[in-house]
Amino acid sequence: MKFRYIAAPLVVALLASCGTGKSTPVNTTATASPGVPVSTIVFASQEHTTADVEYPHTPPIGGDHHPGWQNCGVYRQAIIDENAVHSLEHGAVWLTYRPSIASADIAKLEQLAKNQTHVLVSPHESQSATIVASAWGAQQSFDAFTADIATFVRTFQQGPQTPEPGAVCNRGIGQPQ
Amino acid sequence: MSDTAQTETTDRSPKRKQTRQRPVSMMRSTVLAVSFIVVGFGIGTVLARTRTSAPEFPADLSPEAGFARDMSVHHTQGVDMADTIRLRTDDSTLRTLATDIVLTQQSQIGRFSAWLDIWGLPVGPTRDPMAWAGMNHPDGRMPGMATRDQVEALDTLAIAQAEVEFLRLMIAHHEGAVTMAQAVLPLAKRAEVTKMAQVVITGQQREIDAMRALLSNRAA
Repeated sequence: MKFRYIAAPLVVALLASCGTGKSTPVNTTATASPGVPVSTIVFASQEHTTADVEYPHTPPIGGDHHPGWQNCGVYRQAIIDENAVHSLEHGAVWLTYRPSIASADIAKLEQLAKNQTHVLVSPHESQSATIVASAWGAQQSFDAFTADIATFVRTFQQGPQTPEPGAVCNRGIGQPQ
Repeated sequence: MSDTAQTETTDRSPKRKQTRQRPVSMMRSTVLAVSFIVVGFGIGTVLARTRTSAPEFPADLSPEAGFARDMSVHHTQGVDMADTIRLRTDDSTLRTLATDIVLTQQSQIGRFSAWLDIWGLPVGPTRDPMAWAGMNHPDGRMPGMATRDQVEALDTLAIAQAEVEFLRLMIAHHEGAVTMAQAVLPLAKRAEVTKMAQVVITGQQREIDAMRALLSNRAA
């Protein structure tokens, strides 16, 4: 067989296998909250413990935690960090506020938990920022209530950072409002 | 420009024939090569698009996305109520039904989140309940949803009362789910969504019948 009779179809086939390979995405979703890098924090340990845990962040965003997760929803009193961290492991977003903020802002935060399955809202006494939004391995602080908080919720509620996809935020401990 | 190439190979073995190349013009071979490249890329692009391009995924504000999100919230409450009674009741028939509800509805919640993931959409609701169906419930809740107090009562009422209350609440809950599924049927374009809506309608209707029977046994 003459080489060129094999070569031509071969070339066509080779080029066909390259093609452009790209297709236009049909859905473009604004995902990342502006200014919030999706963290690459790898927690040294994320085991169950009944002891108190020393967390490097306030509020904490991962690591060891208690066996029970905090039921998602709204709390008007502080909840235990070690239970909240377990909820983060289940994909929850935890919105915390300094107890002294305006009640109108508290109401706005609580509204973000309404009809959501994996959003926790609670006051947090030891945080320095006015409002903090946390997810497993991700955190953003706010001086005041802004629309970016809802964006954080959209991005991280059962989002790609969730160590245990499919895990629930009900049937745990606590009675939300 | 034409080039004439002529080679004469010397016989290296008795079997080898002498070959003589046909004259090929530079222009012609260039045109041929370019057309192969173009055809090749054309085939490749078409194949790539048909193989890997995403089908039309529902948008963020679509009925499909709204149904998946609202139904997940609705089911979450169903799981709450059924699991509460499952742990408390001594009635094995009721316990079996409650177990069925818990496991099936939780599994369906899993399906809804998987869809939203694949569609590239956030998992949680982004609008008021049932807005995707053009419905607006006066108290802002989905059809058939119990109040917080009603759900908590299932834990605190005496068991006989709790069982009756559970059956009443869950029948209403199921009827609400059927309403939601019926609402999405004419609006959804995705086969997996319409299929699931149909499953919810028929499955939950059967459970309503079973629960009505259990309720009548309790003369309630």
